[in-house]
Amino acid sequence: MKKLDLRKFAWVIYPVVVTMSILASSTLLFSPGFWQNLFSTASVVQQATATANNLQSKLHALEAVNVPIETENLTYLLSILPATKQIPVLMSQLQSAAVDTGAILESYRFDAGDISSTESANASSDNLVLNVTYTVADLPALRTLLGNLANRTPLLAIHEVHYLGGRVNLKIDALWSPLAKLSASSADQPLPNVSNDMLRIKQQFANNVAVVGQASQAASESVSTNPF
Amino acid sequence: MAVNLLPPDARALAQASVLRRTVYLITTLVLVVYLLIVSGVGGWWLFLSTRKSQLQTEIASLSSQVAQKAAQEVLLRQIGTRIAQIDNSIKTRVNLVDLTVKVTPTEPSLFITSWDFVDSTGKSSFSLTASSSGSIEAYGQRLLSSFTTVDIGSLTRMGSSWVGEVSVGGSTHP
Repeated sequence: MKKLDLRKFAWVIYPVVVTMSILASSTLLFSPGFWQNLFSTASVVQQATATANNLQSKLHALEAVNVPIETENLTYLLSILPATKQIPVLMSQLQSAAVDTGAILESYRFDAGDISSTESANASSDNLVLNVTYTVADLPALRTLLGNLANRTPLLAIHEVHYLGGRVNLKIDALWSPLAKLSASSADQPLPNVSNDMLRIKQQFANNVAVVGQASQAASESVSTNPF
Repeated sequence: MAVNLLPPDARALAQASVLRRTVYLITTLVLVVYLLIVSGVGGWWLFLSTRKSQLQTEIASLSSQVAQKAAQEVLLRQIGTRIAQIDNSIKTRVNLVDLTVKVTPTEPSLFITSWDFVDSTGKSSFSLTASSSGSIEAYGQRLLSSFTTVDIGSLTRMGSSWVGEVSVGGSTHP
């Protein structure tokens, strides 16, 4: 019996073996599950890259934070919008506004409510309302007085004006807001960029330096600016 | 026309040889292309798996470092929140200086004797005295350029002067 020479059939066996190998391996490797898994991993890697980049830039930003300066900035902001009801500062401001504008402070009455700095759900509605009476020379003098009060800190919001023959009664809301109880957010949430806004606020209140300084002292005395 | 001088057997052998070479060539090409695709996909999978693992380690490390700086983060967020509150307070305040500029009379011999402004209604009411009713009407016309509503409530002759009641509303916010 003749021995079968496989080399003669190599040209047939070779493509058959290659085709079968391709079919077998592609069925195993390139199943729908494989591609789904591959694209899912690609998506996870993409998200993780973004998260890592955010964390990296956040870490750099946090490392660059100058705690004493930022604490000073917070104290400055608290002098504009205090965390507690600043009654002594307010009384001084009302008197000072009268002196600056040539008006006469006739009387004032507070509806102070709770003056503690504890945060509560309805704290924002717990307003410090003042009824103030001034004597002014005329309407332009009243305008000067209102402008002076508007530029003062802590911020005042005048809700009512009743002017009659040189006597004006103002209903003023002395704005304040307790410090929010904040905790560090989820790690990859970006930080607020406060430097530009801080500069803007400082420029906006540049004319109130003396007033801010005074209020700032009171604010720092009455409330801890350490937010932690 | 070419003449094939090979005997029939030799011709068949030559054709078979060409066929074999072609089959080898095509099979090899297909195999090479397939191997390239498999290598590419395999390389991509390997890269993704390694990168995923690297990133997970990196994120854990960065998160831990960020957590150590929580105090700084809270400080910045307090500042951000306070700036937003200040901006909102200023934005929602009524610009009374602007309002008084708008309502201050420029008409001759016209004076405001009383002014009542209530923020919640956004309305201002005035009592005016003037030497002529025309001044009060001119004043009312001028106010129309600054306020959405201008209402001249009454106009009374009191001796030699006129007394008017005017109320305005709208456009008082800066």
